[in-house]
Amino acid sequence: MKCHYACQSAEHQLERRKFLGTLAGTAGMATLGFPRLLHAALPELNAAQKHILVIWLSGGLSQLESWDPKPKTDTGGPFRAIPTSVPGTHISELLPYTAKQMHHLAIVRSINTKEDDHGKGQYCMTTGRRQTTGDYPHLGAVGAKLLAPHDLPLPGHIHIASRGGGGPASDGAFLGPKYASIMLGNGDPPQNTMRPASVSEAADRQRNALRMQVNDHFAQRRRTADSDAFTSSFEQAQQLMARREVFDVTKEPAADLERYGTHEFGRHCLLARRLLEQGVSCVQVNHSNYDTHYENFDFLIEQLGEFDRPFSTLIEDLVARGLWQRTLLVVMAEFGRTPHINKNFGRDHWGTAWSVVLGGCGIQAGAVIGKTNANGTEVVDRQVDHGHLFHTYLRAVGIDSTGKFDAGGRLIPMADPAAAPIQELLA
Amino acid sequence: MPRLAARQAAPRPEPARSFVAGLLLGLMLIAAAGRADEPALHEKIDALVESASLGPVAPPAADADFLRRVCLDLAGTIPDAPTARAFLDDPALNKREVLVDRLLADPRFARQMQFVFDAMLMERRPQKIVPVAEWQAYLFQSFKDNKPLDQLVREILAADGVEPKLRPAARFYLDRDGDANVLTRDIGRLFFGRDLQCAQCHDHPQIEDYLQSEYYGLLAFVNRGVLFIDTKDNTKTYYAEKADGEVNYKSVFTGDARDHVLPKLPQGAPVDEPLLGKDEQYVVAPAANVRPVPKYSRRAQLAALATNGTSGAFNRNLANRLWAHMMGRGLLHPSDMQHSGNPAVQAQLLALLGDELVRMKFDTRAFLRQLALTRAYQRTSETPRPADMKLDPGAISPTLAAWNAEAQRLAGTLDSLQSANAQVTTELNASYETFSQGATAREVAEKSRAEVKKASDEISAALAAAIKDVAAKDDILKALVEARDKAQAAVAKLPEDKQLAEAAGQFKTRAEQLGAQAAAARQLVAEKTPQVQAASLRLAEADKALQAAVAGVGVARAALEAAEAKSRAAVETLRAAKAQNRELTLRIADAQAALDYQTLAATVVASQSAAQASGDQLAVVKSQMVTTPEQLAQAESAAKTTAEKASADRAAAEQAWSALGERSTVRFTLTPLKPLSPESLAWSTLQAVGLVDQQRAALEEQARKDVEAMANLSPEERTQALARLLEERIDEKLRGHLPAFVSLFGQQPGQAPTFQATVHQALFLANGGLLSGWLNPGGNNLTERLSKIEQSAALAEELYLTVLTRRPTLEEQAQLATLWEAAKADRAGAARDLVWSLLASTEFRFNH
Repeated sequence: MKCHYACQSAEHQLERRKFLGTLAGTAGMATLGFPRLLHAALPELNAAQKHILVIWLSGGLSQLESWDPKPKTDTGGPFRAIPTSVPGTHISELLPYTAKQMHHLAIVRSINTKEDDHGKGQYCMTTGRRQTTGDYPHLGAVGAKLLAPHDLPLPGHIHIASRGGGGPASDGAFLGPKYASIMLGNGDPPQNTMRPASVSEAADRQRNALRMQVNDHFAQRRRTADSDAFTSSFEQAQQLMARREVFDVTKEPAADLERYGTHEFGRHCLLARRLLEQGVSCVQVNHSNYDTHYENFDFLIEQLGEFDRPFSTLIEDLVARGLWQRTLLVVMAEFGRTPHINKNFGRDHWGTAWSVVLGGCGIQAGAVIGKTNANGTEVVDRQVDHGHLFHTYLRAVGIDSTGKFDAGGRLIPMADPAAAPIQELLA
Repeated sequence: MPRLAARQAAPRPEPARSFVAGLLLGLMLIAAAGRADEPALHEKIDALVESASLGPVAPPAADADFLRRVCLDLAGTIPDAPTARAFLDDPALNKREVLVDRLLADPRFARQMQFVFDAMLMERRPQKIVPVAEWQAYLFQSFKDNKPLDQLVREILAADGVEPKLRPAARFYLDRDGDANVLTRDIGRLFFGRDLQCAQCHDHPQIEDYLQSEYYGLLAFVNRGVLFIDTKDNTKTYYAEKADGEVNYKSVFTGDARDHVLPKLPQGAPVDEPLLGKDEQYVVAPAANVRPVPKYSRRAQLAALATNGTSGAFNRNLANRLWAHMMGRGLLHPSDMQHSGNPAVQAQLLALLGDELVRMKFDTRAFLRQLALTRAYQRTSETPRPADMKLDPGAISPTLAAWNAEAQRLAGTLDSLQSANAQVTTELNASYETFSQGATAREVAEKSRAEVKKASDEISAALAAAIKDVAAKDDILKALVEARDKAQAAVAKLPEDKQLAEAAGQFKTRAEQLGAQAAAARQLVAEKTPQVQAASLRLAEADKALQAAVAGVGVARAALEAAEAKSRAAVETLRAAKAQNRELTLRIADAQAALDYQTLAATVVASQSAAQASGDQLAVVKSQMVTTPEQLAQAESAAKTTAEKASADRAAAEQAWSALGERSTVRFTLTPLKPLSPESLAWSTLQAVGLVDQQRAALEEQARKDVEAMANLSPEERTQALARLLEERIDEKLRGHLPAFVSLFGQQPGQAPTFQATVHQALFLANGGLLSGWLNPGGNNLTERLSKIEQSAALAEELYLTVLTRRPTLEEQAQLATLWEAAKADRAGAARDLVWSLLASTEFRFNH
């Protein structure tokens, strides 16, 4: 059986071509001038560039208080279902603003991942595979690898959360650290993007000029794709530093800061908009913490109250700014919550019958896929899992999900070959 | 490093001794390497490497490059300036060999091997059960003791974490959660050079050598492993093993299935293992909170069989990984993709290295020494100049023709080998079927024998109870009969006594009742006796059946082993032919590229002289007194066309030359650029900025005192003890800086290392607090030392020797003179930025 390659590591070939293309005139010709392909102008933002935006509801949002309400049943809890902008589709009354945006969104109500563990559930949902079959990259790393323009100095894969990070994580797997996520803890910029206080701007210019001279001297002795990549990483660093404001949400208009709300999640949603507008390929905003083993209902009034407005504002803005049709939105978590309400008025981990919301690029707006039974205890129509969803994400942004990555000579399917995209969800 | 011994405070006597020690070690190693009349391994290697390439062969590296390269590879860090100066100025002809031996004897060698094998075997996996520090200390100690590599791997593969001294070795298993599939993949990759992961669910879709049967043969060694958490002992976790657990699989593509898969090394024979009955399988049987210990451990078999020197795949894999460490690229590349579609660039060379590693008893130092002494290792990494290529087309063509003929001959044999292999595979499948049926029959016989035995035991127990019952009843009956007779005698003597007569009557009745019961019991015994005999017969039959089944399995397994052996031979022959064919094809392509370049170069000569001629012609036309505009235009156009052609030809030739250089790198006739490992980058930076020297200065006095306090040491031992003590103490002080480098420059956890330059690395080097802190003047660090040097020439030499391990060029000296003059107001700032420029350069980032 022969495999076909949707992705023949275009980036690598590009590096090589660039590299070989600039070699002419250097080999053995020590006196010739040295081409500076690395001083490329800032890239134009590509109008066709696709993005992936993940809203990660850490801990596991209850589908019954959000996308798949079951009012007036033994499992439904106290809240009502309200109509949305899609006739016939109802969601929980805890999401009144989101309800008005439903005509942009689609709901998959028939997810069964058979996984009730936080770590394993997160692994399934973000990589599209079970952890036991090897190490696979996060959706954002895959997106950064396949969607990011090669000359974009900004990181291709950014996560925004309350705290932590600043440096690359380890979710790039075989795609490498280049595509691992950068965590902007509390919305702060990535590590080391400020020149050290002890080095003046003039001194920095001079030391970089000298560095380039040392590099040029060395390149006359030997030049390889690796040495070029190292040199250009400094150029990229300088460009990133020059665009450091990209990470500064306070540069957004005051009116927008107001619209999104001054709380953390509001600021993070606005930062996500800013990053997408500036060309970052994959952004994930984490909203913590939905692990409602206790007081599910009281807590969600507050938590979803915080979520609803900035989330719907973000959709509204992405639509208004023309980003929506090239940005895939996924609202997901490790799993949903049990229909059974426990003695602490909480709901527990539940991967058996729960929901994910998608929208934007490549997604059939207004669609509702699959069904659970009357009180939400099982999937009764179109059961899917993380594998199907992962194929769907890739297809939605125009990637053939049956393609393969070339990981140092090893060909690895981009998505689980045993699963397939959810066709009726694709626009 | 190593501050090499030669530099330890000039007036001290150590250098000479250490030098002698180095020489002695070298001589010992040479003696170990082989008989005197045989060429040394490094000579054999060079002969093979150079015989396979018709392309350019790069000249030897300059001393400075060699020094930096070998220090980085064997000591994991750049040398300090005094060492560099001493080496560069040393006129001795054998100084490279002496340096290699000194480095192998340096304590930093064990440290570097610790880093290399940590990264190789754990691939930056996070700490889970075994503390990383203990694992690293175990590796360090192993290389310090020059523990042979086979022993090291044996300890790792046999580890269960119980024996305290070897507990760190269990990190390989434990920090992979003892997951059988993860372990199968990594054992295949890291110890046999074969990444079989894709063969988990079916034969590999792209690589025909990677079979599902091979995956499961390897899995069978580890699938009985279980993580055992000892709740009584501080919840310590061990990697225990059960005695049961069969490996079965089914292809998700073809549905082909096998069960009772026997453990088998990649490209090896199935293990002949004892068939133990259910009750004789354990030394310690599994139970709640009890760590099971099987009598027969498959994992111990894996450890023994892999490392006993007979597994060619294992030996070649280790040799290839050591080669890749020194040469920047494996003979087999990627190191874990050994199959006939991706053969070693020179199979013969890799086979030689595998065999020699065994012959050297897996001595890392001795083996690396041979690699370091090769011309292949000592070549320059500079792109050779076309003029350096001494290619004679007359010499190339016959060799090329011979290679082509050989490739054709090989291609011709492939078909017949293929069909022979298919035939053998059919036989093998049939044998497997028989064996599998036999194994199932044995299980059935074992089960039915157990049932029969149980029934037999039950009936025997019932008979015994009945016999006991009869005896008990007889005993009472006897007493009753005696009492009845005596009572009747009394009644005869006292006939009037009614009460007595009544009592006698009761005795009689009871005796009669019991007599009847005893008779019934006897009847039961009579009934049970033949049943017991029948059961015993049935048991004998079941025993016989079991024996027959066991014998049947034995026969089937012998047949299977024979079929396996035949199949293995056929497969290996076929694969070897394929690999050989592929190797030759690639070699021919490289040689052809060299020939093509020559043609291009000849074209360049021709087009350049044409351009010259038409240029001359144009000059002539222009200089003529009378020239028509047509003549001028024609001459100008001709000059332009020929000049353009000459320039295009030259560009094409240069590109072809560069591509040829890439091909030479793969053939080890040109040294590649190797990125510094994260650890080497960290230590070289620490060395360059002066932190290592700072620590040495702070720790040396105490270390000397501690060594002087040691009893019974010869002067040589004392020198060595001091070097070791200092190395360990400096390492302890500075190792905390490594994680920052490892997390940014290392690969993602569990992945094979590949070079990636990321913006975060550049930002870390450019702006990170760590490096900028080290560069601020203070504590006699490099910045401070440089800022005090007045003379720019001295400054340049100190700077370049310290950071780049070479002297500055004239151009660089001149530039620094200007810069230093201009920086009079802030020498410290200028020195800091100079050091940074060099540290952030490609020349520093790569081992060249």
